[in-house]
Amino acid sequence: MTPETAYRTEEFQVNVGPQHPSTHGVFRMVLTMDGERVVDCEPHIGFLHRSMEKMAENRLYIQFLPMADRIDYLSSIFCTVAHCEAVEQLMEIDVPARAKYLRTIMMELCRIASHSIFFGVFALDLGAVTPFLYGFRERELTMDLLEMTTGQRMTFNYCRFGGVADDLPDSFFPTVEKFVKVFPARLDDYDRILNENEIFVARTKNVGTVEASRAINYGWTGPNLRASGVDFDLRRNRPYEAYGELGYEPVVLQNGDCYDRYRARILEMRSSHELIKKCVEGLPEGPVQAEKISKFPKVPAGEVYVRVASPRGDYGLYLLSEGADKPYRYKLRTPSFNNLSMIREMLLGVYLADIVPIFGSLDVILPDVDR
Amino acid sequence: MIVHPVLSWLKDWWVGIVETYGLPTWFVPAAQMVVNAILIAGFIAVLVLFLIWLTRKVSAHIQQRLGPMRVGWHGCVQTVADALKLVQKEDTTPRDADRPVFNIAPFLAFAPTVVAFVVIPFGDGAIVRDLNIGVLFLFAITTINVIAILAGGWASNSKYSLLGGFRSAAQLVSYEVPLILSVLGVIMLAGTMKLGAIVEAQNAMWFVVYQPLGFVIYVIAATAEVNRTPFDIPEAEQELVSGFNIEYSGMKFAMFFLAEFANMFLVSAVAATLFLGGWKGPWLPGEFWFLAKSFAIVLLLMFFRWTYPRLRVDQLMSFAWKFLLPLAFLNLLVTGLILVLM
Amino acid sequence: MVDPGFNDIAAALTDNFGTTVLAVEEGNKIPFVRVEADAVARVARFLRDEPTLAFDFLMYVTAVDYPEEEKLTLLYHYFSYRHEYSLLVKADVPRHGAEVPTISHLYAAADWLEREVYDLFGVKFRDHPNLTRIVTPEGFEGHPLLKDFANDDYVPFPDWKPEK
Repeated sequence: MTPETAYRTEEFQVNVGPQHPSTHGVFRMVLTMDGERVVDCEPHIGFLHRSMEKMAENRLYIQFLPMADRIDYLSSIFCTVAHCEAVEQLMEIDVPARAKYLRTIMMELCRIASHSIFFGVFALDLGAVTPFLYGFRERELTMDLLEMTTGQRMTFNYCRFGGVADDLPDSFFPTVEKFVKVFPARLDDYDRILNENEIFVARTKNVGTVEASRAINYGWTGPNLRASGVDFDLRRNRPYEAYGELGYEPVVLQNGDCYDRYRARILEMRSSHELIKKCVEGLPEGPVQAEKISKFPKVPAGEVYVRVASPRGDYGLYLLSEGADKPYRYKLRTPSFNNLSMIREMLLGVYLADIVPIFGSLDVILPDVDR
Repeated sequence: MIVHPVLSWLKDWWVGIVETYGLPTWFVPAAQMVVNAILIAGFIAVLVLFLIWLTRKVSAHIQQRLGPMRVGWHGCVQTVADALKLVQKEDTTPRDADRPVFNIAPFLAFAPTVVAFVVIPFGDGAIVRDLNIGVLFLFAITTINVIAILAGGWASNSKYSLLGGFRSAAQLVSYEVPLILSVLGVIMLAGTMKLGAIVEAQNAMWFVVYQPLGFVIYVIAATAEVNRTPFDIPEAEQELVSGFNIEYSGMKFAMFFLAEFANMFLVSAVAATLFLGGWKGPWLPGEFWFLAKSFAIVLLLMFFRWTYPRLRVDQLMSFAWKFLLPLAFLNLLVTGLILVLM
Repeated sequence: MVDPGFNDIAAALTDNFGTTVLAVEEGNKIPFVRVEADAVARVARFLRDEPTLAFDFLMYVTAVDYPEEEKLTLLYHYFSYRHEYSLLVKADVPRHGAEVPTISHLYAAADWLEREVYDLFGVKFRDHPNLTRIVTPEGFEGHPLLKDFANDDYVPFPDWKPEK
């Protein structure tokens, strides 16, 4: 008997999801396993498909505005910013400087909120429960700020065509000052509890490594791409809103493994914190809403493609208008969809236990995948 | 110092009864056994309820939460409420499960833990049976736990629980080796396997001073032995959802749970007995010192639990075989050399 | 936002593909190149491999339905990380039973994107490794993003009954 035939192992299939603690929603994979090793993986998405694009085509621009919040509910403000930007570009509206700054502050707060959830959930995926609560503690700080400005905690509905819904309340400034002061120390806590943790590093270093060319080929964007060493960030390379005036250096890491994807997000929280500080200091005076914008605009014919750097990557919106009060075509290019499309290739040959950090490190959110 | 006088008073009382009514003489040891069994079962039940509450509180305060606060003072009877809830739960058995094995597994997990408490010295004279092969008995009996987990995982006929069972078998068998090797050092120093005698041998100095490496290895291996984070891969919630006990509900699930927490206390109690001088301590009664030392180790395990992520299955194995085992042998060698040379 | 290099890209394309490039249009806000549907894969390969273009990133693939003109317009939007410019390529196909070559062997991102277009518009991609529905449930009929798709009577799982 040769060693190969001496013992025969049988492959078996494991169904992961759509209800499973670490698929972060309703994602389903059918795994073919050989013991603890993944032989094949068949991803299934679409459990949360709400046909957002079709709904957009059947609604007024203003009607879809609050719905855009629901596309990616953990970073909802980015979806509405893209929606407003697209309409503004087609209608050629000049947004007042203060409104641009306010949008930028809210986006960066939202980015921190989203990344702190990632921090917590990623640690939870690896079996460490405590960081999860730490992540939510920091999210609460940003949520407070967002809540007092927008009145909402998840789906903010803050942007309007030509500006934002409302100016900052007076209580915002002392609170944001406090936040700016305490936040770096909290991030140091994160470093101490996970980055320097032997087991955490062993679980994530050199796991799920993706080199730059493959990441680009699969359409990866955002922190995932920058963790693979591609020095590109919309906030610097294609500045929109107030980013052009603020000056921003993206976080670029080289290894492209789970550890770097995690680090990229932690470092992005630091740079977001810097941006918020700069924004609040340099906040210009003036109106927060461009004048004479119809609430129910007829958008001139034309097509635009708007890209917004959401926490998950480039959130793209292709808007085709035929001059009516509804979009003719509303294509959402959501970052999670493309980030997730590599999952099969990434999972082949890994241990069952590695599925969780690999999937978690992509930081996909299922409503963003399925739309 | 508390338990022993009570027990001997009880014994005298029974002897009196036996003499008064002319009962057969085997009645006295029989009655003693029954009382001991009741005492241990009661102790474990109360202990587990307390441990679960403690786990929740410790985890909550580590995570900047309050934990249970509603039922009783700071939620102290919350676990009683939860236990009542579990008892009321429907007892489901999967259609394709291997019924007899499925039903036996939870009790197979719990029984050895109770039996193992027989040789633990809770205080001066407060030991059910001070067997002269106490340590051997202890590790032999707790190993049965593996079979229970494997049986539970297998009989559930679910892939997740099967994977959990396999992982558990691999892990427990691997960590048994460094665990026992680390204890061997203590046995060499004490020259006996009798737990009571081992405690007596630590009269002058705790064995942790002579066996620091052995103690560290023991704590690590024991953490793995009771499936606590960072070695909780058999029940890895995020991968296997809940591992071997995924299909269990109600009282059977509670049995696994009970066994897990009782086991956690057991390994802590053994650590306290073998390395930290057992019930020996100044002024206060021995039972207090024993519990204090055991709970110190329990708290240590809890701090591990709420601080560390989980290891991967291959890392876990290589850690046991490539790191802990050589270290345990080294510890044994050095202990032996010192004993021979001195 | 008009990319500065657009005219050079369009010139390179017309030089290499001749009549398969149907039109180079200024468009409204986004300039684009219209090519023959059968040529999308060849164009994609050229765009990706030509070092002066180096369009390495496929941002999205989608379609627009024009029921009056009886056509679907496929949109391929490329981006180049090296040169930092983008290019929109359009191709017209008939509304029903259209078939175009896949570009999933060139851009891995196109795998799921083409499945989505197939699912929502019914365009078939030749030689696609796994052209199945992706977001709609199994057994779904019709292609929801076509303008004349009526979904009023749609019942998700008509045969489903609660288990006894």
